[in-house]
Amino acid sequence: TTKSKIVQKPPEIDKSLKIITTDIDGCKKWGQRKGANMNLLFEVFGMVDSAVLMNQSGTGKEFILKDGMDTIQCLFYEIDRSLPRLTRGQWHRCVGTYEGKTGKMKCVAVRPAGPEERKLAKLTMYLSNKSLEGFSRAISEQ
Amino acid sequence: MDKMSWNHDFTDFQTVPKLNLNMQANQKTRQPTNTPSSSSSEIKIQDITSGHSYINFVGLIICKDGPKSIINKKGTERHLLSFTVRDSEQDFINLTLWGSDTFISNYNRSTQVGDVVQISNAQVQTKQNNGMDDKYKPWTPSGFQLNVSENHGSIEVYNGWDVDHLRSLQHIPNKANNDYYTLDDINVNGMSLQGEHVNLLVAVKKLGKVRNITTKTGKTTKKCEVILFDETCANLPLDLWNNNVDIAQLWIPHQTVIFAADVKIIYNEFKSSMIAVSDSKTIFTIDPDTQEAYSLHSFATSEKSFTEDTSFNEGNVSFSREPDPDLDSIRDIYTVEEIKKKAQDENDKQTDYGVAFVFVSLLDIDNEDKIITKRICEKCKRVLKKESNYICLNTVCNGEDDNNMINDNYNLEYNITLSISDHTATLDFTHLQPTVAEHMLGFPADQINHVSLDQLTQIKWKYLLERCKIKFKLIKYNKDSISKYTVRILSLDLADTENVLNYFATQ
Repeated sequence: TTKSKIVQKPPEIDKSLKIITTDIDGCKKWGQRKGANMNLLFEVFGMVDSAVLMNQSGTGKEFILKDGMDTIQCLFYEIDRSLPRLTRGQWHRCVGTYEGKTGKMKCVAVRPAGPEERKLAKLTMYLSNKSLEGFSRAISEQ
Repeated sequence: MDKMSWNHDFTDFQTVPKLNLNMQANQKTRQPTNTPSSSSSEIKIQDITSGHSYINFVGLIICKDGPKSIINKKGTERHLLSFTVRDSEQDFINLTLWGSDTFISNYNRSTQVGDVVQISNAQVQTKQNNGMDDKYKPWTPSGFQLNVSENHGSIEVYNGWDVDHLRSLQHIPNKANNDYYTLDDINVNGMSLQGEHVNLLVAVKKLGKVRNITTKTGKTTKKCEVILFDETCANLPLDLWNNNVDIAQLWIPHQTVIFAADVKIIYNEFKSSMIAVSDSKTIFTIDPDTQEAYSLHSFATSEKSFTEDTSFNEGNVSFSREPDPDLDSIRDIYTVEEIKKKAQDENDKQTDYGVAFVFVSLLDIDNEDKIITKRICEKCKRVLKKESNYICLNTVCNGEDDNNMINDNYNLEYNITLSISDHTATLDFTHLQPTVAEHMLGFPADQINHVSLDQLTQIKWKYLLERCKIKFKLIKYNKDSISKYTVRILSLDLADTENVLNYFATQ
């Protein structure tokens, strides 16, 4: 018998880091998907809804971020710079990863957010979601 | 400056039998052989003597300049068109047509380079010996120049039987076959050619857009940039003005070969490299009928010329031979995934330019152990490597002072790579153009030691994980027969939200 059947190689899936604009719900949803080998960094807009406190081990700062009905605990380690003073009740932009174990968002960048970029976020959220769904479908078919 | 200096150098080219353009020698042999007549008679350019007042002849227009106007001493404006007309391999002559505004612009519309024309009753004028007559006109071997005016003499399209012979002259360069610079010669000579007129034998790589320009005096003119290449160099911009812009519209990239006589070489600050400019002295010979031109043509049409865009390599991507288009003209928008797909597409070997709205996801500039500058040879702009003790390895460059153990003649340039990401993917190791890096950091590379790490951290966070608008160049090349690519960032700014919004809204 001949084994000359050409096996078509599936197109390689690009698993490099994606920066995903999403809301708190999306951050939790996508962050909790394990095993998919997703390399994601989330851009989330929300209101700071607590005081900013030092965490228990004294190594990072914690606060609560809120959008609509959802809240998430955020953690920021002052590695190469200190966290600027965050005003409670104001909109902020957080970029970070979701920690499945603790359910916290580990932020690497936090700053106040303007109305324009929040408007933009609505669009990029939609695009991010579309792109992520396509990506996770491709991975599960592999 | 002695613009006639070629005359003395010309002995170098006497080995070329095809053309004998030595003006002085020709003049000596041009003793009037028969009684010169003051009346018009059919004549060859080489037989013109100072005894002729008016002549008739048939020739090929090889160059046209104008229309222009001058104000004479009486204060009246005179309009003119300048031609260079040729009737044999050796002989060509400058001719000025004078007349009213409408007369001249009508003539301008009805005549073009490549026309064979009958010239009647042209007035013969002896050139001054000081070269002034050729200062703003093409150089000609003739000791004379001609004038035709609206009221006396004429230039008309000629329909005689010997047109084919005259037509074939348009493919014969008007300078000796071997009297040209390769593009590498231009690069190596660099500033020493500043302002000089030289000849080039080149192939056309790219035609730029024609732009209408209003001069300081309120006149409108057009300009167009053409990118040239040859076997020694992948890129030399040539700026064309006015009539030459029209001529260039027929040139075909990777096909048309040009012998460009007397283009001016100047240093372009904006591009920080030498460029060529056509002026009133320049004559183009398209697809020259010479051995060298045929050889360049087969190189230009070969696949090699498309892929061998390798005047750069990974080590010295910023080498200044690569002029880029105006940033404003870069408009195609890509996602990171699209850039990567394009880069990895084996069938697409083209250099591409594009725009992307991305996050900077790695910008390692505040790391004590990481050097973000490189040394560049002051003379030839190549990268000096530590392994070679920072000595310039360019053989053409360090020839004179290779006794130096350490090369002090260097400039510092930023050498920063960053990663860019969006919702589709991440691309690592994109190269920041040194000028872009300087713009981002806010101080020149040689002052890096005066800046604290804290300051660098602050600068880093101004861009890191923020949405930026970048313009990039995707360069593909072959190395050890593996196709590779580099992405260079030509500009990087924090994105204007409105701008990004408009773009994403169309997606």
